[in-house]
Amino acid sequence: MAPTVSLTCPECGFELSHVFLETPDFQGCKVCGTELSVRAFPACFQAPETIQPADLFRGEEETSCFHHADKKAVDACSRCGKFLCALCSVEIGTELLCPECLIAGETKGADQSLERERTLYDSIAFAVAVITGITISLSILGAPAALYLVFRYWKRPSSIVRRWQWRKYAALIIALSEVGFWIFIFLSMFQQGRRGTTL
Amino acid sequence: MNSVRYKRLPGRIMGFVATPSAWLAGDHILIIGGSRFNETYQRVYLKDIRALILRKKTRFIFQWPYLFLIPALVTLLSSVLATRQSAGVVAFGLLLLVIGIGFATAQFGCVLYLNTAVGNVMVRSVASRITARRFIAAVTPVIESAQTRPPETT
Ligand SMILES: [Zn+2]
Ligand SMILES: [Zn+2]
Ligand SMILES: [Zn+2]
Repeated sequence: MAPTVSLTCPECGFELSHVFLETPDFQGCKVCGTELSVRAFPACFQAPETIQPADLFRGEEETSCFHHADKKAVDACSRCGKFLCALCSVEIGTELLCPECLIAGETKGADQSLERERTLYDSIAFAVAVITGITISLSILGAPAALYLVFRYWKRPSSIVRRWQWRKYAALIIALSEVGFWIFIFLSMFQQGRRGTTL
Repeated sequence: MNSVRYKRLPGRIMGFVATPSAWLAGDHILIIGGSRFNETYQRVYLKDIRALILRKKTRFIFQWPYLFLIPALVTLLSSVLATRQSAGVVAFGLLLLVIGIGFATAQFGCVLYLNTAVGNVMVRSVASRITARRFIAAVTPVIESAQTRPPETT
């Protein structure tokens, strides 16, 4: 089976010879000499889907794309059901989405498979509590900051892959004990001061 | 909270700020980049992967466990100054070991790419050919079964 798509060298960008697809052994790129090993999958031997002129909307009976009246609809959005041409539909996993539903999913963050990034507030709170705790004196600022982060973002999901959210609780415990430490220091200073004035 | 269950794929880089990793879900590979405090996600769907491209490359990635070099260096230096030989020999051995490991990882260094019709996606968590072999062994059967299974009709 001859490959229908070409693979390019990640170093020089030139097309790799078909010899690479026959064995996973390391071989030098014919152009730049970079040693590469290629493991090809069935997707490498399938013709890429292209938009045929037949996709253009002609007949009255055929449905046209919601966005392009002159193009034939090939699919419908999995969420809202809008008819879409090959250009307008975006495949996300098993779903096919229209541009509007794609943007809605991204901004709402409701759909996990569309998320692009997450800020890990629990890690930040934990780092703030621990690092300022090491310096001891800076924890007078670090502990309230860590507590703020913990409570402000308590419900915010952490990493997409971590199963345990221990950092949030660890940051809370460390910050609270730092606050306790400072209260103790101030109380004993206050008491010493009072003893000093009465004597 | 997280609806997708992920399985960690071989490869771990313990950087100070960046800790890239790769994870396997039912229909895609998730490449996590960014930093300790802000993760970025890149999803490569199994059915879109045309090839895995492995490239030999000498590379050295500084990771925080290398910081254990510092106590060895300090011991070596102080023992040389105090002419205490036994501690010096131990510290020197440790130093050689760490340098050896560093050299080996640089020698067997590689870059792994997931090739799709859109381009090559670099797997940053894989830095050595030994890890790459384990990564490839873990993903090859799932990619193959995802691409040979007849497409579901809804
Ligand atoms: Zn090349
Ligand atoms: Zn839609
Ligand atoms: Zn359209």
